Amino acid sequence: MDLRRRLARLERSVGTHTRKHDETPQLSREFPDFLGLDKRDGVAGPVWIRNEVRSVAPPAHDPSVFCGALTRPIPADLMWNDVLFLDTETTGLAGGTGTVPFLVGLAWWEEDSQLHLRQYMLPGPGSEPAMLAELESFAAGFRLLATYNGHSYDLPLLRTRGILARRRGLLAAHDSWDLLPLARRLWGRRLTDCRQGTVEQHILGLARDGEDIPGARIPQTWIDFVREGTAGPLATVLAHNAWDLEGMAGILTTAAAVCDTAGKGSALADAFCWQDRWSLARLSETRRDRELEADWIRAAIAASPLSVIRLDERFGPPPSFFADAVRMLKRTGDWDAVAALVAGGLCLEPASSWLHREAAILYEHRLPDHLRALGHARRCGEPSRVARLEQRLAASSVAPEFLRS
Amino acid sequence: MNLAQLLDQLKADDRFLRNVTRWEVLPPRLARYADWPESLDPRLVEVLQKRGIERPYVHQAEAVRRASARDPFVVVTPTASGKTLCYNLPVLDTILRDPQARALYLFPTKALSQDQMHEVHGLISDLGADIKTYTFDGDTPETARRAIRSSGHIVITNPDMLHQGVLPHHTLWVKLFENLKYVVVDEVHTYRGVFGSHVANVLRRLRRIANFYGADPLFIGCSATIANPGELATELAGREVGVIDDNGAPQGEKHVIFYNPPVVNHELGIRRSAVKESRILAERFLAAKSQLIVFARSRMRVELLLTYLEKAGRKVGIKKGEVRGYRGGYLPSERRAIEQGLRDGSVKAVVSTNALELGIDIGRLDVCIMTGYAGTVASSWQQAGRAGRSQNLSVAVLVATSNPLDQYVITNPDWFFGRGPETAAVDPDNLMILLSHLKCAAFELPFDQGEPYGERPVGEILDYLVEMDVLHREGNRYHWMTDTYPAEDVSLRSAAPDNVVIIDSSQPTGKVIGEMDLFSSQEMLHDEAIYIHGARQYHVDKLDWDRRKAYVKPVDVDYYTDAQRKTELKTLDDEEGCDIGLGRKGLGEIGLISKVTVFKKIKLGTHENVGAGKIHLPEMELHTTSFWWELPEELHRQMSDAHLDLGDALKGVAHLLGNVAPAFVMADPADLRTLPMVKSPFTDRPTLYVYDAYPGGVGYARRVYLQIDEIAARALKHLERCSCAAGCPSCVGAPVDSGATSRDGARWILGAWSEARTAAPEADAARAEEA
Repeated sequence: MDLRRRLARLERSVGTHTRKHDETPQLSREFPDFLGLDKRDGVAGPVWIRNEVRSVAPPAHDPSVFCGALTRPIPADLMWNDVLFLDTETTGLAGGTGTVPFLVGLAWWEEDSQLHLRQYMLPGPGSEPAMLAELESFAAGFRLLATYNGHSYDLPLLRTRGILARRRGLLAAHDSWDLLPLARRLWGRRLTDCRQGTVEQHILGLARDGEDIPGARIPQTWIDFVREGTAGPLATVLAHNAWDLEGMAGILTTAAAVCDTAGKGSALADAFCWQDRWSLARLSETRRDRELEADWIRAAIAASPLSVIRLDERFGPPPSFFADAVRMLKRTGDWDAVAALVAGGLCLEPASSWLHREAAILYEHRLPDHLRALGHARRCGEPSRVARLEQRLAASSVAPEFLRS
Repeated sequence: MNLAQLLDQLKADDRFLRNVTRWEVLPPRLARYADWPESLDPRLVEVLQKRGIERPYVHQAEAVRRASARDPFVVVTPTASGKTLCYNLPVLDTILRDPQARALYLFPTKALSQDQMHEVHGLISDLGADIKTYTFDGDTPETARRAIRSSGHIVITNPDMLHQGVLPHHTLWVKLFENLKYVVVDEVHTYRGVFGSHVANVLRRLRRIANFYGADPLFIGCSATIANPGELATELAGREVGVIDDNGAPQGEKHVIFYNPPVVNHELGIRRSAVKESRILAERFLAAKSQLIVFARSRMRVELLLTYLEKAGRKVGIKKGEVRGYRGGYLPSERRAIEQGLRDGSVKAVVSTNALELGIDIGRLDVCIMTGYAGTVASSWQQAGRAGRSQNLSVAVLVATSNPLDQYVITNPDWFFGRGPETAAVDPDNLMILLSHLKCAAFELPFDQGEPYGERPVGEILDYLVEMDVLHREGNRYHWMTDTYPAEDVSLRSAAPDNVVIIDSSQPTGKVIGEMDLFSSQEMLHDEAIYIHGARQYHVDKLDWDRRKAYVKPVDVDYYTDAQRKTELKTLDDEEGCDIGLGRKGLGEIGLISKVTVFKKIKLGTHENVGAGKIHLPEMELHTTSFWWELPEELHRQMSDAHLDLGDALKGVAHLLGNVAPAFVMADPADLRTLPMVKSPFTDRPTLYVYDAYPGGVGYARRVYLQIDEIAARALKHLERCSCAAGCPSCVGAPVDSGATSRDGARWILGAWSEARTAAPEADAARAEEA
């Protein structure tokens, strides 16, 4: 029996068989004209490029408006046309070295305040090194890369592919912003998830038309083209990628406006739901602007429904709105407001040891009422605080029957 | 009384000696030292001298010499002969000189990695050098991984992690691969059979990636004694590996005693239980203040013996925590504490499954009692090696069970002492395994046309993968072209990773006391089982199979439970077959369905049966490929005419094939199993099955199918040459096992086959067509 028949048998016997077809393409494919891809001589071989201009204006605010909202520092004197948006389409989400970025989309603002798009697409895996070289050389004209989830996905993947193509440190010298964590900070408390499509739909009010290809189908579209030459569906992949780039620019602009408002105080609060006000309080906290922080958290408390007090004690102090509200109010020194908030919380969650601890601290130190503090201390299980309070109360000759738990 | 006095007493004890079939004394061996190699960094020499190592043993010095000549080697010396220095010395020496240098250590289990980590760490802190050592496995937190990738000088991991977690992400490990000077593979002997063939391929991928980054690491291996360590290491390393086996470590006088428990029922030939006899012996050694290890073959026996020894220990003033059990199912922290206790002497005795056979460092003990033959000569010597101080006297006792193989070994000690340890085989070019790893390798780096991978050209297989839409060929390169992650689909070991968590529900928070693999849990954790853990009895209230949880409560009862597993064979797919002169050969897919059905309650101490119950748990199924030999129906009559029993004969042939076939198909004996059936429900005739012991099969059965003519011919020759009278483990199996007439019967069947084949030349034609 020949080797191939044996291999096929073996694979069949363990159920890992794969589809078989006869044609074995040896050379890379040609793109049909309707895709609009032009072959150019790149710095290290031929590349295939599609250019487009869209009327999307840059943000009206200075980049410094993102201070405190981004995980990375904002380079000094950064201009909007120093920013290069980047989004890749790949042969899979599995990660690891075997995934090919077959489409790299770039976008940037020029002096005309229009968004310029450029897409590099591979006709086959062999053209990748030339594309990566071209990408590196083109990106050198920009100071900063902006991506959506690129810190976890696009940039490490390009870096990996760079190493395989003997081009180490690809794009590593650039500053970069990932807009996903930015979106999470600003809108993550309101949205169920912060996928780019969700943000576009609910924050920007944009809906992609029915033509958009689901992300999961993208890898096979290109693989089919490489294997069988079916190029039609690639048009939807190019459109999808262009949407992603334009959407990113839109998200950046909207985020800049929100960050700007955060700095202006809650006079503009009416435009925001309580979750967004809470997000802006957190942003102000990161910016260490105590006044705005207090302003936004008070606005958030005013608008919040009481049911948001959900305390899950298994994970220590709750990372909830309520915990943030108590922390920020404490900072203002408005102890009566803190007391009211904690009392409100205890009405809803009478057994919460976290709330009892907050109350015990409050009545031991801030609004001295040691008897009350002792009651709360006993319910949050802090023996040392209980002992201390009992001692103090005994010293201040409180009748012993009050001290019994 | 001390150990020497106890041995004198035993030598004079007629009742003891009556049961001893062999008392072998291995003379003491003196230490042989060499000078520190000149090339070695003086800081290392100084640190070792401070630790009391004035000079290296000859094998250690030889290791350093070969490493500096960049000559790959494998060290084969007994347990506790200072093997780890054979690789730690050259590795640390290299890193001291070149702080960029990196080394990768591979251990078969996480526990061994941890163990080694502590050892290297100790050396490094004595050196006061900035050499970073990390373990990298499934438990390594995500936050630590980045630091390990970029700054770990010595990264200690296991083959599974290398396969799924490191190689497919090699671009994150640039620093390691670029500067990789050493690949250290310890416990080389464990990498055999299917597992070893996988590991050889993982190492091929490792070399391919190291070469991509311009590195050419030196292979260093360590192995327990097997017949062919150099050959095995060469297969794994992919290049010629030399052997260092000139052991310079000293060894005190060692006594190896074969003990066969006395017959208690002559009519039925029943002997006293090996567990009971081991217990009595262990008590005598404990009383002589000897540090002791008792090996038992099952987890249940471990717990039984532990219960007994705790009681016995109390009589001679040994406290409860000084006798410990050690087996799978104990939590890692518990195991670490026991290992430490054995090293520092605070644990006086340990009862263990073969879990301690591997190189976990527990120091060396005075006495080893093996309750039952370990199954192979190599394993037996490894267990016996746990006893053996460098200066003092040590003892290893084999207590035989009534199992036929045990009885053969114990009554024919010459067979054991005259025989070398077994050969370990791997077949890295097994098509199924090779194919899996070629996919992984192509994912990691595109293949160039004509690029070597292992020994054989792989162009044809790559073309096949192109046809199957896995790879894409563009010009002279093969690129990975699907949206999957191939390493995820390839498991190096057959064992399922799923396990059952054991929860003590008498504790308010439901404390987890252990964990167990699915297969064993059906036998030990079924509803109403008495589960013994750390010599404490627990009643299993409920085994929640779907959630993989067993709820137990401590109890104190005077019985234990023993579950029975039944296995059935089904033919699922009859792929091909043809006439082979005497009957037909067939190949196809089979299902082995096993089910735990009932359990017995057995009284502690007397081992009487005091009750039983039913077990309702799902069947466990193994689907695999099988070869079968369907014999003619008239064989029944023909054989009874010749006064032979067909059942015995089939068992004999099955045993022979089980011995001979693995060598032909390059399998480990454990990878191939045989099943003789006097009347198979599928063929309706006497049939002999030889199947792959792995889910899905790995192609061994297919090779048996293709080569059955040669294999059967060799089996016949082997049988004719065997010098035994009525069968032995080397041929048709011990007579008590295979039956009194199995040797003659097997000879009859194979003889008939041989005649029929010579008479029917068309079988040869069919064979030629297939080859």
